[in-house]
Amino acid sequence: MEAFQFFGSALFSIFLTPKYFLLILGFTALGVLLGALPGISVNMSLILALPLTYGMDSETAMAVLISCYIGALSGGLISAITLNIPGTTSSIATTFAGKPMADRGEAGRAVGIGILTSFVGGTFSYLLLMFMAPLMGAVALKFGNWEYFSIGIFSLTMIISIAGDDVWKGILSSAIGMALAMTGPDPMSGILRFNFGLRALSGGVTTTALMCGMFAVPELLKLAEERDSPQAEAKQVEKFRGYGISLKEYLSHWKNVLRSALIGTYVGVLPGVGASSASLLSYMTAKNQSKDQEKFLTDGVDGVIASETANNACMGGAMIPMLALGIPGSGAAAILMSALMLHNVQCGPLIFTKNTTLIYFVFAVCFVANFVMLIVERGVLSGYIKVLTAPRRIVMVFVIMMCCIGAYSARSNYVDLYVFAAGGALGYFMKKGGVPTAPIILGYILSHIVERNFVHAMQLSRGQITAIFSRPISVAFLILAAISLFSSIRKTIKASRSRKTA
Amino acid sequence: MENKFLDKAKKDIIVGLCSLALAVGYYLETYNFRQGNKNLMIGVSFFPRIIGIVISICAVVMIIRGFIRYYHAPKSHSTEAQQNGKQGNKGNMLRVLEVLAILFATAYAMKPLGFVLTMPFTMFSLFVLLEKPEKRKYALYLFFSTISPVVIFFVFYYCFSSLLPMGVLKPLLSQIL
Repeated sequence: MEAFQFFGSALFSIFLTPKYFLLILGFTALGVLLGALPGISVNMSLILALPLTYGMDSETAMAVLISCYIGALSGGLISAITLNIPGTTSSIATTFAGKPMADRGEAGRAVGIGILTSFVGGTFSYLLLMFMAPLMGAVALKFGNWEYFSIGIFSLTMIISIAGDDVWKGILSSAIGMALAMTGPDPMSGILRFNFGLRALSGGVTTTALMCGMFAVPELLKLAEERDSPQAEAKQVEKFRGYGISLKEYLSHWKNVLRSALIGTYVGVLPGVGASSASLLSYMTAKNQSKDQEKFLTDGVDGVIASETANNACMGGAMIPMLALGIPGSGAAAILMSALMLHNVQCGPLIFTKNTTLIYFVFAVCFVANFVMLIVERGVLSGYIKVLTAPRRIVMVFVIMMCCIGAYSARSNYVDLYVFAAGGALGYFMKKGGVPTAPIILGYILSHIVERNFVHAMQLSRGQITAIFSRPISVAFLILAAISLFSSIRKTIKASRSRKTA
Repeated sequence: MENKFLDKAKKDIIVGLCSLALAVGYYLETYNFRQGNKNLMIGVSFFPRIIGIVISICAVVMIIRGFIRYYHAPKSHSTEAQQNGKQGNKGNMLRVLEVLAILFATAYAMKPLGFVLTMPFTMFSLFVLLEKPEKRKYALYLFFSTISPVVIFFVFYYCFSSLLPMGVLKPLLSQIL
């Protein structure tokens, strides 16, 4: 009951203080804009906003950063659907689902559904954050290195099935991603690997540069290749009303929404796993649960719902260990935590008693910013859709300029511009060879989780790999991984047989 | 249909061979790593070597599969239309390589020339390359390519406190900012 009182007074203070409300409105809109720009990640959006908060009090600083975070996290879906280039890594799965809809001229509808379901996913996770933060934080503590390693392996097997009928190409693609991730310091000893004597490569390869290259450059090269064909003309976009989906139709997807929100929140709670894994796991689970998998792939609505609900639900989840245990669940949560520390607010179990007013203010900002995102993003959607009707070759040149900025700005390193160009060339030629590129990025992200946790776990268990079998959660995830891998192999064999008979 | 089957086989062989070369190079490079603490259970080269082996296995499977497909594919003699198609593909591939060269040149020029001087060349050449010769609007491309990098440079500096590369214009831009 006391929680409701604190929450109510925090909500009143936001609505009765124009400064708070205007900042939430402005920074959510800015977050949406930055998230929609390919190359500007959620973390980078927060880093850009962070210096602005130095002179603010803790409440105002959190209002600015959380609004920017919520806007950017959701904004990534706009370019993922309209340009088939994910604005943020958490929107990679959205590109799979959004493409068939965009190809049918339903890009606006797809974005509308994505916005609505982002709102639902976010709201669900904030409710859990408000009422179950200490409890869920304790659950996260049960996850050790073996559990993280197993969840990483499970996610990798899920990625492989993205490759469709050819499991070998899926494994190859994710292995190349993992190989690229090995550049830079070893997680245990810090010894440099694959830097070829270049100081600029000693920090490794950044996800932003690689992702921009892998997704944006092949699109540009495809335009160059197909310049003289009629396919290079702008796409037609059908008109749609509201969010492109009726309430009745949306509610008919309730199982998918609930499952994705739970996956997103739960994965968010696990430190270091991140929104990209959450949206991918949710997308693949929705695909596997679908009665008609062919329809799931061609229709796209279920895929957009699964991916976008999960990645927004991840935000509330990531804040649970941050606030309850002082462990940031993601890079963005780490930035929020450092902003709190700048204002002498220490995250951890005592935060709920020592800084009660601030904590409920944070919860209230989450709800208000999420609602503002729902309105603002829908408001600017028509403008973004116009991008689709503009000549694609003009749009892509500007996208490439933004990607160059994104690749460079991630750590002000000129080498990242080469990574961007080389990643693009690799992505293009892989596509030409029929190898999917999305598993590269996801393999890259997951390899850090897999390697770091495996190395630490082996060190703690003094080299006894059998220690993994003494952890029930770990064993459960490994069994799931084996099932996922064998079902992918079976699917490949089946597809190969059906091709032969045809 | 026959050629599609043959194309797939050729693609599998090419992808397999390239991946195998990459995997072998990757695996051999692990022997150049500095060895760290002997007490560590897992060495620095453990994971890279496993990845190298996984890539090699995939590559070998794809090569074998490609050859099987190739020898089982029904062969047909190429027609005149297919020869013309190949000529067209060569032209298209040249354009793709030109675009890639522009991107690498941008990466190379960014440090000495800076964002404001490099981007106009990149944007203008991309606009020109991506448009059919008879439809090109040079004045419009020139306008977009010169104005937008300058605007973006100042927007990033003043709105986001993010400084893009200044290059040779550093003395001039430092006075303005």
